Amino acid sequence: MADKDKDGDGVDSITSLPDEILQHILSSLKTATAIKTSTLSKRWRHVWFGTPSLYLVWMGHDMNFDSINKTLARYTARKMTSFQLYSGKNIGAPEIDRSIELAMSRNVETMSLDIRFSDE
Amino acid sequence: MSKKMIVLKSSEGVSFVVEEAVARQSKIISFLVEEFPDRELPLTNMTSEILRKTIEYCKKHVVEDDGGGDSSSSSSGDLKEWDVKFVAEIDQPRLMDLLMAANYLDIPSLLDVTCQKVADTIAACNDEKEIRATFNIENDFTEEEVEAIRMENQYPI
Repeated sequence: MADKDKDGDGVDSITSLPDEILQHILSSLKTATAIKTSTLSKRWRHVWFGTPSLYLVWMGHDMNFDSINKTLARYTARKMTSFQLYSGKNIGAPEIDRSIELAMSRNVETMSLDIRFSDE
Repeated sequence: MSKKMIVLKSSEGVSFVVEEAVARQSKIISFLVEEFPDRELPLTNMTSEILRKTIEYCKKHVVEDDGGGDSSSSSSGDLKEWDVKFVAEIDQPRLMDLLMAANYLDIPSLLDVTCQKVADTIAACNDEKEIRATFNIENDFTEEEVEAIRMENQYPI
């Protein structure tokens, strides 16, 4: 495999951290970035599922809410501390509603929606 | 009145004499000094280097109470700036050690700044390969498995 060269004091100490610390780290990332960590290694596969905060950003592409829903269906954190949604593109009322529903279903503590409507 | 001091001992057996108020930012130490007053506290899984760094952080963040009412040693803006510089100067392996120390000793604000630095580092990586290389994470997936997970996670950026 390509990633096996160990330079310097190549110790993988991040992987030995407990889930809750890894989730603390992922909490301050955009959710899309947090999800990417699931392909790092088997240890990371399910870590993002329990991240206590979500930060969804939609910009410059068509939103496919079904696929996002499928992805978020795996999101298992029982307690969500924060939910942020930023949309730089037009977004429909149903999508906003479903986002809010998702956040409410996890007893979210703080919610922030930043939705820009532009003429196209 | 002289300030109450306590002794923290690193894994190498080096003793650090610290003001109790400084050390009490660790919830664990705070608990231990109440249970075991006048005892030196052995921190067997912390090296002198990391313990020194942890104490440096706690000294900066201690809220001084010297009779004239509570006053933080620095304004919160300065403190934030100091924190950013503090973690910026630490290399990757030591940052991880410091993060684990913050977790072990239960110092929430130090845990926050070290976790934030790790998050910033992850965010600055272009792809998973770069994240793996940065943190020395070994990829134990096959290509097919990675592809299957990617298909599951259709969430666009």
